[in-house]
Amino acid sequence: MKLKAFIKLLLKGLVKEAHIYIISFAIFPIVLSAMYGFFQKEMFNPSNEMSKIGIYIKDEDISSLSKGLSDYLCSDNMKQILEVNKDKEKAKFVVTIPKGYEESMHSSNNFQIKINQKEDKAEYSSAIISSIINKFNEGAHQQILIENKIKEMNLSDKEKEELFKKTKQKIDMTYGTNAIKNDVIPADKALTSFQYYSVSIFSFMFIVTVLSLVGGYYKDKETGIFNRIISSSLSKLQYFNYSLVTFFIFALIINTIYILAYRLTGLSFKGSPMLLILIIIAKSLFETSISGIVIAFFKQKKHAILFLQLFIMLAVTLGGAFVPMYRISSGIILKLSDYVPNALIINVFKNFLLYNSFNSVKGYLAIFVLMSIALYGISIMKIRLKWEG
Amino acid sequence: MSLIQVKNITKRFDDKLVLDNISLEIEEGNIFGLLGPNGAGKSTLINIMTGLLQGNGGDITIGGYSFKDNPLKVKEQIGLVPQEIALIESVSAYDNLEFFASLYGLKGKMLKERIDEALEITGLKDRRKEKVKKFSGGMKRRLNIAAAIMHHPRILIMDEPTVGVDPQSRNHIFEFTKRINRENKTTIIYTSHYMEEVEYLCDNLFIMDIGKEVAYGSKERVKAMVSDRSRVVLKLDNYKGELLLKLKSLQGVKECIEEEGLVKLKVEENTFELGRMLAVIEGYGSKIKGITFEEPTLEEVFLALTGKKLRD
Repeated sequence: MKLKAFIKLLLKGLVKEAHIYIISFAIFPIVLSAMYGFFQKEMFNPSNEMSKIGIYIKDEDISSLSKGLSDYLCSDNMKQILEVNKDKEKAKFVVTIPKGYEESMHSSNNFQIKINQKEDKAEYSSAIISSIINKFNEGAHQQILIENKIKEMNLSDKEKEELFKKTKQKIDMTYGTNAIKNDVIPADKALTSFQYYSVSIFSFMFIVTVLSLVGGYYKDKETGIFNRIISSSLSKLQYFNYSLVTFFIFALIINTIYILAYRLTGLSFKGSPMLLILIIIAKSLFETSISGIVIAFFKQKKHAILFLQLFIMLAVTLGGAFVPMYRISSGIILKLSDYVPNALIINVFKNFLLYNSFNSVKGYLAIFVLMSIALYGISIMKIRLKWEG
Repeated sequence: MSLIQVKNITKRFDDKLVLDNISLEIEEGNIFGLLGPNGAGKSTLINIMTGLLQGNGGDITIGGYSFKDNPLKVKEQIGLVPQEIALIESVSAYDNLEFFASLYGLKGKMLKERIDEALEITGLKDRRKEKVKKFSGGMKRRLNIAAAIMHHPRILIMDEPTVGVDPQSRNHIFEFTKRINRENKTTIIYTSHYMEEVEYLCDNLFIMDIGKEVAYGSKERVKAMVSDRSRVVLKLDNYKGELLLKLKSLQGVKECIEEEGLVKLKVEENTFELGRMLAVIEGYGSKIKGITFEEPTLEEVFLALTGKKLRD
C-alpha cells in the first residue's frame, strides 16, 4: 500500500510535468542528432566505412566447383570487399570448403562451408563472408540445374553451348560485386547519422538520468520531505527500497520516451520490440542501482555531486573523449574502457541496430544485470549498517 | 505515567557533544514549548524523537513504547510539521495529502474523509486541486500542517510552523493548534523563535542551550526562576529628575528610567517595598495618575537564563 503511494505520486508528477520530459528526452535529442547528422553527414556514407575483410581459403574438396568458389572469392570484383591472404596467420577468417562440396551441390544435399572467426566482435564481417558464399552457391546451384536442363533439350551441341553461355552471363551479372554490395551487405549494417547520434546521445542521457534521480533525493532532503517520510511509520530500509522502485520506474519511462520518439519517427531503434524492451529494462536497472549506491553512501549532496562528476569524467575519458583509445597501449585501460557505462550503452544499442539479435546483446544485458545486483547488494549492506544519522 | 518520556538522551556528532543527558516528561494533552537559540540542540532532539537520528545514549518512550525496541509503533503516534515546507510542489494539495496519509496506512473511505477533514481545518478545501507551487507562503504552511494530522496523531511536533507567514495565516495556525489540542487532546510540541507565540500557546516549557537543560517546567514556574525582576510602571504628574534619582536609590530598585512619558522601575520583589516608593513620590509633591505591575516576559526570562536573545 505504501509502495503504491510512492508509485502513484511519481506517476502523477510525471503526468503533470510531461511537457518538460517530452521536450528534454524526446524533442531535444532528435533536434540535436539532426543537427549533428547534417553537419557530419559525410561520416555516415556506408561505402566509406567498409574496410576489406582478410580471409584464408582452405580447399579440402579440390573439385572444379570448389576451385570456382576460390576463384570467385579471389576475383577482381571481390577485391573491393575481400582480401585473400596466402598466409593463414595474417587472415582474420579461415574459409574451409569441405570435402564433398561439389557432389553435394549436384545432388542438392546439405553441406556446410566453415567460416572460422579468429577474433571476437567480428560478427558483421562474418555475416558478409557468409552472405557472399551463399550467393555464389545459389548461383552455382542454379547453373547446375540449368546445365542439366539444357543437356536434356533437343538442340544441337552448338546451340546448347550458346544457350549455356548466355545463361551463364546473366547469372554472373546477377551475382556480381555491385549486386553483392547492394544486396548481400544490407544497408542497415551501417548506422545512419540519426542512428549513430541516437545511441551517442542516449549514453549521455544515462548521466542525465542518474543526476536527475540522485538530485531528486537530495532535493527531498533539503525540503524536509525526507524527514517527513522517515518520521512516518516507515523504516529506513523500506524507504530506500521504495525510492529505488520509483527510480526504476522513472528511468524506464524516460528511456521509453526517448526510444519511442526515435522509433515512431522512423529515425532509429527499429528492430525487435521485445529485444528493445529487454535492453531498456537492463539500462534502467543499471541507472537505478548506480543512483542507489550514491544515495546510500553520500549523506551530503555536495559529496554525491563531486563523486558523480569524477565518475563521469573517468567514464568519458575511458570512453575516448580526450585521448583516442587506439593510442593507449595499456591492456588494463583498454579492457576497462569496454566496461565503462557509456561504452556499454553505446555498444549494446549499436549491436541491436546492426544485428537485431539476442546473441549480439546478451553479453551486455548480463553485465548490466550482474552489476546492478552487485551495486544493490552493497547499498543494502550500507543501509543496514548505518544510513542518514 | 507521562505520554512522552525522554530519558538521558545524549548525542554526539564526531567529537562534538550536541545533546548532553537531556531528560524531560510531557503529559498527554499538553502544549509543550521547546525553546533555545540556534545551535541549542532543539532540532537534534526533535530528529531523535521522530526517528531520523539515533542517540548515542538514553531512550525515548512514547505511549508506553520504547524507540529502541519498537520504533515503528512510536512513529505511528507522531505527526511532524517540519520547519521546511515539506511538500511536493509539482502536484496538487490533494495529491500531497493522499501520499502522506497513505504512509500511515490510511486507505479507501477513511483516507478521503481524513483528507477532507485536514483541508477543512486548515482552510484549504477550495484549493485542493491546485498545484502547490501556485500557493502563497501562508497556504503552504497550512498545508504543511495538514499533511501531519490526517492519521490523528497523539503527538504533533510543530517545528517553527509560522516562519515567513502573513499575520492572517499565523492566526489561523494559532487557532488550529489550540483547537486540535482542545478537541482531540493532541499533545503538541512547539518550537518557535517568536516568544509571544510560545507565551500565548504553551503550558509547559523546556529551555535549552548548547545541548543542556536551562529551565524546565510550567510557564509560571520558569518565569518564577527570574521573577525577582518584576517591573513597576508609573504615570506621574508634576515630577522632576531629582525624583527619579531618589526612586533609584530606594532599596530593591535595580533600574529607573523615563520612557515615553512613563517612569519604569525594575525591582527585586523580595526587597522592594511599595509603601516607601509611594511615600517618596508624595514627598516630592508629585501625583500618581496610574500604576501597573508587570511580570517579566518570556523574552526577558530567556535572556536572563541564557544570556542570549532567542533569535541569536
